[in-house]
Amino acid sequence: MIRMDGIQKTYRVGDVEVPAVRGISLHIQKGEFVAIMGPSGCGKSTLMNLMGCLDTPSAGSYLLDGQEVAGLDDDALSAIRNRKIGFVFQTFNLLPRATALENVELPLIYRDEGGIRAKANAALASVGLADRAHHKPTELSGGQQQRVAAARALVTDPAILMADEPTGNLDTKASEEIMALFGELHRQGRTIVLVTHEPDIARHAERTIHIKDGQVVWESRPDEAPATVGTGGRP
Amino acid sequence: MKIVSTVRVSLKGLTGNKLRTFFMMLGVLIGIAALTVIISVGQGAKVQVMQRMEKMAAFAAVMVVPGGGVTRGMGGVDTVPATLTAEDAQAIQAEVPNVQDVALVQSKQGVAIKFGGQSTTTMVWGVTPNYPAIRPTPVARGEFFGPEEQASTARVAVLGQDTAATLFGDADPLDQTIRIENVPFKVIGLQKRLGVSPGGGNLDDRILIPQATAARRLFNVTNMTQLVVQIKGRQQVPGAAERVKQLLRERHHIAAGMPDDFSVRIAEQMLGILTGTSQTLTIFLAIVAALSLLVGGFIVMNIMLISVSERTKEIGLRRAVGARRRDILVQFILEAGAVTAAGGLIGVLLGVGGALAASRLMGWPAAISWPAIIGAVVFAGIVGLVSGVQPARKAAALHPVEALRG
Repeated sequence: MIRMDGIQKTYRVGDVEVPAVRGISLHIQKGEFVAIMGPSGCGKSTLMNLMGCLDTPSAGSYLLDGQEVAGLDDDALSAIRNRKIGFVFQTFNLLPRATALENVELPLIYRDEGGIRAKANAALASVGLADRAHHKPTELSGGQQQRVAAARALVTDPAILMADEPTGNLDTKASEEIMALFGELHRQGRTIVLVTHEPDIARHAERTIHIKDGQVVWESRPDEAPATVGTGGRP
Repeated sequence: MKIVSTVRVSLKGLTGNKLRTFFMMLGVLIGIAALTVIISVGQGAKVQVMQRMEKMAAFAAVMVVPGGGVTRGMGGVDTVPATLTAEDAQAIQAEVPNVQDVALVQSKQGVAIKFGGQSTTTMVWGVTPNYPAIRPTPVARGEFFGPEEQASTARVAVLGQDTAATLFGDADPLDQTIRIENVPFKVIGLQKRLGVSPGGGNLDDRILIPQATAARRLFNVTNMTQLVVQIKGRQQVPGAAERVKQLLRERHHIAAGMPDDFSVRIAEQMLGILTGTSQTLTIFLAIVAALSLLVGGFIVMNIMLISVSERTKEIGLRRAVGARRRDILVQFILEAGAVTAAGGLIGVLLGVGGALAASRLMGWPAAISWPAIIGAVVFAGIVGLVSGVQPARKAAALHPVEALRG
């Protein structure tokens, strides 16, 4: 589903080139639930943006769902984001003046397709919020807002669900609910990539990729003792 | 992205912040309303002048009034210089080629009129019987006086509609006796409604009596307030006017280099001045209104720019879920366009209403000129689109990653 080879991303700050991602190669299978972990500033957000086609790599190859996306232009990347990727953000990013239903409809209005309302209703129902369709975000709890955001990510039936610190703004109970939802989606066969710095959250994933200084340092599985799999020093 | 959903997204963006949208709309609205009022009133003034011109252009005449310089309206026998006489009229008739006829006018303003218990003051015109043939003065009922009444200085009067209404109300004025400065006059005719004269006077508030009667029985003067010289053809009018001028200078012994003690006017000249003045004023006011519309455009642009920076996160989100740069661009341009279009439309409605109200309350003429109004709305639309383009480009140029960060 995702195959990255030697992906690099370098930012230019004035005259200085700052490498954020330094040659990452990784492979995520269809239906996998993968967490990406690392301290802040390690490049995991940049990696996430590259994976989500929000940004383009400076070098390397990125095959998404069998398609090379490294050299695509802005319009093509927009189309890929719309078709293949569903985003869930730390701050939910719901439109404050739109209802839950209208928020879920948002990705669909950038497609030439009918049946928008029905699809949005179905997506809301799948996250258990059918009865909150006409509520504004301010009328919903944090956990409910994040579930609306998840419904928005799912409404396009994307190949990959990408979640960037989805529990970062939630209390423990709501966090557990959201992670339970992701677990359920995983069981239904969704491919999920989760970025987090919390080990408790990463434990829900089948596999955790640890990033440090823009490189993959080691991988772990929750049922294994991390030290036995490591390829480098633990952080 | 379908156009319907694009429009819906834009409208959603507008209804989201109603106060901001209202202020954006206001700038355009005021400009368009002002433009509509000005164009309508200006157009109305022009139409009015054109109507008067048509009224006047139907006959070929030269007007001679006493006193040099340009005086507007009509003076009275007691206020104008006593330089113009019946002998002048005879000389013009005899010596100027192409002259058909000359009518004498002796008028006076503020003359006291009485009928029974009713009293009023109005303008009394002593005119020769040939006057209606030169300046159309049709009677609705009764008849105009003829040479006999002029010769016998008969005390007969023809009333304007407004004067008749003031004195008689709904009663029949014909054959009644009114008193003009205490001299009894018999009402023999009721003039048809004529409206406003080229000079701006009300032609329905006056009393016409034979000129000889006015001169001997009422005013006791020999000077004229106006000579109306009928010319045989319209092409001959300018030449005849020049000859009249030369003749009167001779008769009045005016030395070379000295100014005239009378004025010769041609109908077309007077109307030309009036039309020119109102047109200049309309153009000036329209420019002011157009400038205010331009300012409205800048307001739209500014608020759109603020809106774009406030909604950076929204733009980032839209980009993340698949909106192309083009979609964002179109969204914001449509927002600006919708605001200006709505502002323009409401402005037109208010402007038309304002123009009609002004014409009713203040007596200004108003003609709703739809082509001009449509032009103003199109101009507002262009202002709106141009104002929307820069903010929209800024929004579309945002990098999704940076926009998401807010």
